[in-house]
Amino acid sequence: MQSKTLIIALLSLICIGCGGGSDSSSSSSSTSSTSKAGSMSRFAVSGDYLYTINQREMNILDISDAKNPKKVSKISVPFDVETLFSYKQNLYVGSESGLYIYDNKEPTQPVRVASFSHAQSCDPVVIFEDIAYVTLSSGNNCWNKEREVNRLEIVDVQDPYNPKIIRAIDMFEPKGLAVDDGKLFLCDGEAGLKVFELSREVDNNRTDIKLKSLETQEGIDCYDVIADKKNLIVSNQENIRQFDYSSFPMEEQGEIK
Amino acid sequence: MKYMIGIGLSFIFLLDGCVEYRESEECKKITYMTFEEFRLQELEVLPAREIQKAKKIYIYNNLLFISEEEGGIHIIDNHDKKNPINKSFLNIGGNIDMAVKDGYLYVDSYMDLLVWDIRDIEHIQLVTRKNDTFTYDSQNYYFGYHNCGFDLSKGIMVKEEDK
Repeated sequence: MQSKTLIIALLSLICIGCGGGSDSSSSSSSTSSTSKAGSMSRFAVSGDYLYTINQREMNILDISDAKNPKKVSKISVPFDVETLFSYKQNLYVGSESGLYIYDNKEPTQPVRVASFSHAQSCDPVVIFEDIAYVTLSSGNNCWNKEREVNRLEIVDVQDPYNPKIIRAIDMFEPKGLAVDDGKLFLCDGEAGLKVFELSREVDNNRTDIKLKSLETQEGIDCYDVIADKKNLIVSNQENIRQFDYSSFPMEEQGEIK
Repeated sequence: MKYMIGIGLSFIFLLDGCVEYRESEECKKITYMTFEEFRLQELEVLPAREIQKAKKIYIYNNLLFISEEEGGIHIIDNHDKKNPINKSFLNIGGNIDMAVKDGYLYVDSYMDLLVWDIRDIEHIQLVTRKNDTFTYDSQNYYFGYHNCGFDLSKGIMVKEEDK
């Protein structure tokens, strides 16, 4: 067991040492007013607390008084954590080695209740209606071709203590993603920005999510997206593009340079 | 155990991309700025500037925040999606992440946490700086330098050059 851990530790080290951008991620859900992060965020607000992660720690800050934020605790997290998403009473941490779920019923002491391992990769996670959407991409890492993993994983997290994989779908080089209004928006590297319609079926207590492609915006190599109130915001390297997704194909709105 | 380390090491040699990376990045001359000097720098709200390399994005009501790869945050008035207005730029060294709660913007600046009052977009103000909130980690800011004699205790890296 120890040896296994060692190998994983070594591999993560190698991966981190060589990767181009172990950028992290994002998205946290909102509190009272409308706020939303992209899926690459490592900051998440839940109640009066700000949760932040970096490579090896999660810091919890009491921000009930903005003028006097107080660090209330710090917990150790797996070495390679990258993105943080707050959903209901849980924190979802995307890492290079898997998805970790923390219970934060006790806001100052999140407890890890599940982990969902997968291949080494970079992987933001977002949650929508009790389903986690995780992208895995080995794009910037140093794995050889045979080891490359580029896919979308859809995980049932109705019971956060017991996440269940629903399906995995191969992608080109997926990065940031957003889900809203039954649609999934996914930055898929040079393959463009992809939009899928999600349909949910429940059979025998087993939830299935099916994807149908709605459109692909080629020529967009985006890093992250936010979908909110029919407006899609795309972080696209040297500019920001916005699309109205009340109908498809989406209508492009203003561009920010 | 040794056997396992062996396997781990052999992986390193398989990954030739890594070796190239290490060689090309190896040990440059690093110029530092002390933490004290860094914290004395004025944190300014600068006029709007063009996006160089957009990274993270965050929305709060009709405001859009865009983090810049080199550090800093663009503030955009996004009421009219067809005509978003680039309002200003927060020049924050060592910034990677952000979050907003009740009109206050929380950002990291290397190991420090900064809080900005953004309730009036025309008059964004720094509210507080909380030193040493996060662990200062070269991994986060200077990718790869941890192998290269980077000394965290010396402060912030401001320049690197070949020896």
